[in-house]
Amino acid sequence: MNGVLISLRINGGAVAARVAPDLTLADFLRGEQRLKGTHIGCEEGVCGSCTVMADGETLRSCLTLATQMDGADITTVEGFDDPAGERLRKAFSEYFAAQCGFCTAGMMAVAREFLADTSVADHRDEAAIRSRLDAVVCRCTGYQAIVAAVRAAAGAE
Amino acid sequence: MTGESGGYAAPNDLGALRAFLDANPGAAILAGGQSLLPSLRGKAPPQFVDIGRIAALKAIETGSRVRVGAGVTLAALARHPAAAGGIAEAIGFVGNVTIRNRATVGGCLAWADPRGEIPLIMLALGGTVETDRREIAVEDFIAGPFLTTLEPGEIIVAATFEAGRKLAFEELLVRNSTGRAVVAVACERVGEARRYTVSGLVDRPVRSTPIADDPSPWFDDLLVQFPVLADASSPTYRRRVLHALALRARERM
Repeated sequence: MNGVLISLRINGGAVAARVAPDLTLADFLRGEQRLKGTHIGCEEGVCGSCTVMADGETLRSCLTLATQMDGADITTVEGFDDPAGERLRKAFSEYFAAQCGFCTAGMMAVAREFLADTSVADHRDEAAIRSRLDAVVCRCTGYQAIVAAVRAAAGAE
Repeated sequence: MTGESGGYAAPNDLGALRAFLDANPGAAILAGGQSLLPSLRGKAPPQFVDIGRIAALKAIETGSRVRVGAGVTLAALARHPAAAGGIAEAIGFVGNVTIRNRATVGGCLAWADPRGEIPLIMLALGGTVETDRREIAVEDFIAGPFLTTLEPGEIIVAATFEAGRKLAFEELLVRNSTGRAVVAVACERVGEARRYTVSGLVDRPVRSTPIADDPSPWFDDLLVQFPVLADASSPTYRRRVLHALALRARERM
């Protein structure tokens, strides 16, 4: 196979794989790693459902090649079982912030990056939350609940 | 992307990149990929040469001029003190946080979106594009919508601009997040006059000469310099947006 050998960390575990040069990170995570929590919506960078974290920063996994992630430390929604992830999961659950659930992994990734961003003066500021969450589209238009959940998670810090 | 893979390489330094491109002239330089990858939908994958491993392209050097490596992400540039004079503000309008985490300064220049914030801001600052062959003023670099004067195989190495300049940036987006600019304006004070750099009117960002501010009808002077393309969607609306944004930017300078 005309593949490229990559080694990276996914949700804390070391992974080595041979991947096609044009395989997206989204397809790699879902197809080869069987991590189906990362959803693929538009496949052209618009919807944000495929957002995951690499080295602490969010990225669109449909606009990233798996090969580009050689050496990276990836966290998908399946890896949100640490205290920061738990806080978000609890808040999303309490505020019913996952309506159909398609955008939820992306929303949580962007929210997680936002809550960890020390340059943000007030993580409970609704305008700041909204301007950051615009990276992900919720086709249920359930934004109120999502914003409320992020505010609650910020308050629980 | 559909069809046979074209291959992938990730050289570690500029010399290796140069050698790779000389041997593979058809290879596509991959930086953040935020414009390149969506543009390849339904097409055969090219041979990718990923510049993400080249440390020399990721540096921001400061002095009388600021030199931003082509591989510096927009998020990294926005966090840097050199971006304080309006650059960080303009970057805030690019896509959204996840795009800015990956998109690069060199990539935005190479893509040359006529309504892109990076080409506009670099033009406003009288910036240059440094390649492995030459240094080009931004106005000579941008040749039209999504067109540059880059030669085949030429590599963008950095963008440079004068340190300490101050701009007020205003933009109206078609919609939030991934929407594009209707019109964007950067305003800079030049003595008692002001200079405007504008996108959304013609097929590329354009910079005015310094316009006397008061009591001259400065907006008419601006329009004389930048006629809205007759075939642009709703020229009247664009003029009104330009007026509103230029007014806001002017008040902040």
